[in-house]
Amino acid sequence: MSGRFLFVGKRLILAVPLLLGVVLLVFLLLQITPGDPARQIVGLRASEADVAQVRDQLGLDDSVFSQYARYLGGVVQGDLGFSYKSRQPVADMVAARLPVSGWLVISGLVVSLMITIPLGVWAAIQRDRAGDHITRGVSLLGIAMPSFWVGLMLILLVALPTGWFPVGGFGDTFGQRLNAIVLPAVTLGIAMAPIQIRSLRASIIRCLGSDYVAAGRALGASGFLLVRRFVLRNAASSMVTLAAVQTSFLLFTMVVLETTFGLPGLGQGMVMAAVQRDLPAVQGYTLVFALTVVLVYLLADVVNAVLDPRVEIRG
Amino acid sequence: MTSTPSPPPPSAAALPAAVLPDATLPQPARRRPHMPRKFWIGAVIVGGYAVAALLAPVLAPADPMAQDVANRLADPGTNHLLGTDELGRDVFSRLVHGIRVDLMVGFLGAFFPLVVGTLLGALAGYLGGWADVVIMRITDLVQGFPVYILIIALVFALGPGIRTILIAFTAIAWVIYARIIRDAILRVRSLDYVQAARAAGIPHHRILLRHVIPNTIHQSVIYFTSDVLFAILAVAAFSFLGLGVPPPTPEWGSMIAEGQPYLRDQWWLAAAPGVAIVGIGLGLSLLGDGVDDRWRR
Amino acid sequence: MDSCVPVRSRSAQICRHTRHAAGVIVIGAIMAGCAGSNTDAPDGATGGGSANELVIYRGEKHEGWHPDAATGIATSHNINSVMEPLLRAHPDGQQVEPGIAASWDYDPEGPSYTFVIDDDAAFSDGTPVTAADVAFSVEQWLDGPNYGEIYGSIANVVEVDERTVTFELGAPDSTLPVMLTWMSAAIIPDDFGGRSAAEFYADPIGAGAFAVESWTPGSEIVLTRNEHYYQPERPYLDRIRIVETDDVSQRAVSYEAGDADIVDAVSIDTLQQFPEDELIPAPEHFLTYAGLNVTREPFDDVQVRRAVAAAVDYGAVTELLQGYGSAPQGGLPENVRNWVPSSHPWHEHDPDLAADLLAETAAATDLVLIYDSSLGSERLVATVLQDSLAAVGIGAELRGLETAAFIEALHGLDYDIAVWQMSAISPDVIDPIGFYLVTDYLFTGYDTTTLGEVYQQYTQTTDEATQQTLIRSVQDEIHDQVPFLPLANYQITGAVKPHVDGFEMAPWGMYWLDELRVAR
Repeated sequence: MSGRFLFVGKRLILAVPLLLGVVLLVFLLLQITPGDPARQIVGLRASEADVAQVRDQLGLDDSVFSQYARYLGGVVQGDLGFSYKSRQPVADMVAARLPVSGWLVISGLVVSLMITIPLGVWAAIQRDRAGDHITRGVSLLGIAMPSFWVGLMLILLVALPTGWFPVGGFGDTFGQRLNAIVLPAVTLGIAMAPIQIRSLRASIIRCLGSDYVAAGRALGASGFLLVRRFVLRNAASSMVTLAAVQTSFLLFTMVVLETTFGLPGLGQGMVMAAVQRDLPAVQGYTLVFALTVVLVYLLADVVNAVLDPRVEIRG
Repeated sequence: MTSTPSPPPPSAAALPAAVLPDATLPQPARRRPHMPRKFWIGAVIVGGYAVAALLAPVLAPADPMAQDVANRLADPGTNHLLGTDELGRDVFSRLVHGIRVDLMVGFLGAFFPLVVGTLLGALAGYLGGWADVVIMRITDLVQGFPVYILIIALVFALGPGIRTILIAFTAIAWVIYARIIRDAILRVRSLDYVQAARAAGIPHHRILLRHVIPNTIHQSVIYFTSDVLFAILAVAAFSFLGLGVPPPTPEWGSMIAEGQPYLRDQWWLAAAPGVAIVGIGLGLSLLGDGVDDRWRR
Repeated sequence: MDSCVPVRSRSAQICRHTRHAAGVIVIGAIMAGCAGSNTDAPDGATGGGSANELVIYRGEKHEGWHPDAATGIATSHNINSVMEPLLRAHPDGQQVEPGIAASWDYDPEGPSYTFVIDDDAAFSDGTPVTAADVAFSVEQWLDGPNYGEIYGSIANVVEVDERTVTFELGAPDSTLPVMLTWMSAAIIPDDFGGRSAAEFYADPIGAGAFAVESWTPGSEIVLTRNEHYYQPERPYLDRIRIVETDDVSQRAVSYEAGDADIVDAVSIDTLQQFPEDELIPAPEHFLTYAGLNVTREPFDDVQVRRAVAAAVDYGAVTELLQGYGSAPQGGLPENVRNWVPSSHPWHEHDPDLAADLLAETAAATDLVLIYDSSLGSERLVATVLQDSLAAVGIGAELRGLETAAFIEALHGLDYDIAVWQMSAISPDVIDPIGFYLVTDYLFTGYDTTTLGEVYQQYTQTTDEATQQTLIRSVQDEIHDQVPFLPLANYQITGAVKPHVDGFEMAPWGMYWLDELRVAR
């Protein structure tokens, strides 16, 4: 176990420069965005003296390095800056919106797995036969469909005629939220599934060709049992890796769908901040998303280390 | 560090898994010397869109910008194949002209990263040393980032519009091409006959042309087709969010957004542009998939 | 809507008008902002729910309870319902009515105003409203960095007795009562009822018809009846839930499903999704206009401005309003007291004339046409305008900006043409005149010297004929000089279920919640 521990530790240490780089990129947004942030805070008719005072307060005239150090220091302490457009700390805005996004992502992933596992397994078993071709065709179609459009079509074809689901918004009680999340989660699931299906199919085929499956087959295990017993479990680790790779796409889809369905999550907050030109908020959301991706990669490595006995650990 | 089955290489888009090389799969022994059928189906679809884009003024029955407010939100019919929008513009004509916008942004949004990535990758591979370290660390950083989110942030910083979107795509999607080229160069470099050739004084660019390009072209093509699809989907999404192509340019994502308030009564306004996107997306996926199948053999 | 960021120095006037302007956001679909919810009352009463409860859906978000920080119409509306101001604007857009002040007297000689507080006026905690409360409230108005200046004529407040208070003025101001109907003239308890200002505005009380039960920013406000309200029997409702949601289709669907009793300010995008006989329009008032930046080419030339006035297809703009608007009669919003048209009818659509006028001037291409993208309707109007301009050879690029960014562009005169809407928020034409004055004619940079003189003379007289002559001179100047183009007059429209009575909307879209009742 100490080997594993070391492995995880080493990954954590390697993540540090990446995290610093991510914070740097987000910080640089401020530098490449045209306009004087101080001027935006005090308003366009304020005097130069007012602007200078705010510049001084925010330390905008300090060197870029000390500004970066200060920004980094704040981030480490959980201070993501202050949104002058919403008049509240960005960290508070993030905290308020986080549960909605978490709710959407988790339920979306559940839906995508409900689609992925049966189809992926079917495609693998039916390799190069009808089931495989059908699944592949469906995946290609799924990839070609813009998620926001799928969402609108679900509203059109399901929500409007049946009245079962709200066409947007989140709700206050658990029941309402459960109801409000159904269509966004299905849309998210449809968006995520095609790539997962391809990957699952590939790893199952790879496993089916491996020695221990051949052994299992020789011992008389067949078909689905074989898949369930040996293959799915081994395919899981590559799914974890894929999940990490997919996180970025997942987050973007989440951003688009929160806007489409009017869910008050992080994505909607980010789009709102972007159209309102609320720089600290855009920086805050970007940073949160970026850190999520870095952490998911890290987590995926760790989980794989634990899950897959073949992972060779070199301290 | 790990010997896990290597994950599909994260493309810049993280999306083109549709066309990710399944190179690690054990392959059946059948030989397939020609492009598979799906490649041709895809090529026909994409070609069809390209022709429609060229012939848009001929194919479109009306001026895509011509307003007729008195005749707004007309139902589909003989005068207007897909009805009219909220300003009385002919939706079918806008859809056809939209091909020009979306296809162009899609193509350029993949082409610029290809060029930039190839150049930087070649630089890293040939120069080695510090140049290699710096360029590769940047690729790590970009890949560790949620790329789409980075695009939103860049669009924020640079202001919405096609130009911004192209800059953002280029800033992000070059990474995968740089890696492909660099790795290929390093691999080729280590080959005995290349070292022999260099020793014999054959210039670098000839080695590059002879050995590196053929080794990387199929991978680059696969990523290129998927990046075109990625760029089309992303432009549509950004326009839908109000961060993309400004009105009144006929662009599919904006058309969907503009149709959204009328979803209940004039559903085709939002539905039709989506179908157009699905069509080109399917064409590109089939094309990329076909190339992948062919080169895997 | 948070355009009112500048809270220091000379920003007061700017904030004042962003309030007007931002107020019109009610009309459109707001893209930005937190999503609302379509939730029911926690006690399980459905939307439209229990006998004495009402649910209102709207797009515009509540900004907070501090009256001086309010910029939007919805926020003003909410504040008026809780911290009712001294006087009330009648929904006819013509009169100022008694409110917490049961009567008032203007003495032009003093000059001074004397107000008598209604005997029954009391805060929602039961304490009566006294002269001391009014005096303290006036201090707060005057301290406000945004709206303080409009009460600047009040030099001194004298507490005559428990229920009588006199405002001594530094100069004659016949229009002060109009400004006392604004939410910025909120009446609050003396010394914030013993709390700090921050504590008070986080959870305010007032002498209005309702008290705040809860406010979930970006999502929902719940108001409950003020048992001590001064108007007999009112308010008729026990509870009002105001649900804020950006999505125009969601508002329409929720209304159809019966979750909403009222959708105020229906977006023109979705008018046809509501039953026509349940749509209640306010009188025509909102002015959709295109500001022309007169500080630079080509609109520094009045001939180009006149050409543009002839180029616009006013009929097409009106068509977009689907019967809820008409071609403009002048450059001031109609249906408020003392409104008069200009001496000549507004310019007509005449592309040939426009082309002739333009032939003698420099070519106008590469213009930037900005509009507020939060308003669904503005994109349509801007696109129609762009088309009209293209027809006479003027090329303009459309640029949709979110409200805050839009206002920044206006302030910075960083545009050529700006499409927006404006309205008064009180029943007198002096309100928009004051607005034009502080915004240099709707941010066009046009000279306001004569307008300033008009404003002075108007507030110093009480004679209506004189006032109307002054207003006509303003209308004529706008007609001749065309600093901006009025494009259409719009009727802000609410969708109201048949079981709701007492919904009467002022031209600028506000209505009194205490007058609403439900009959089921």
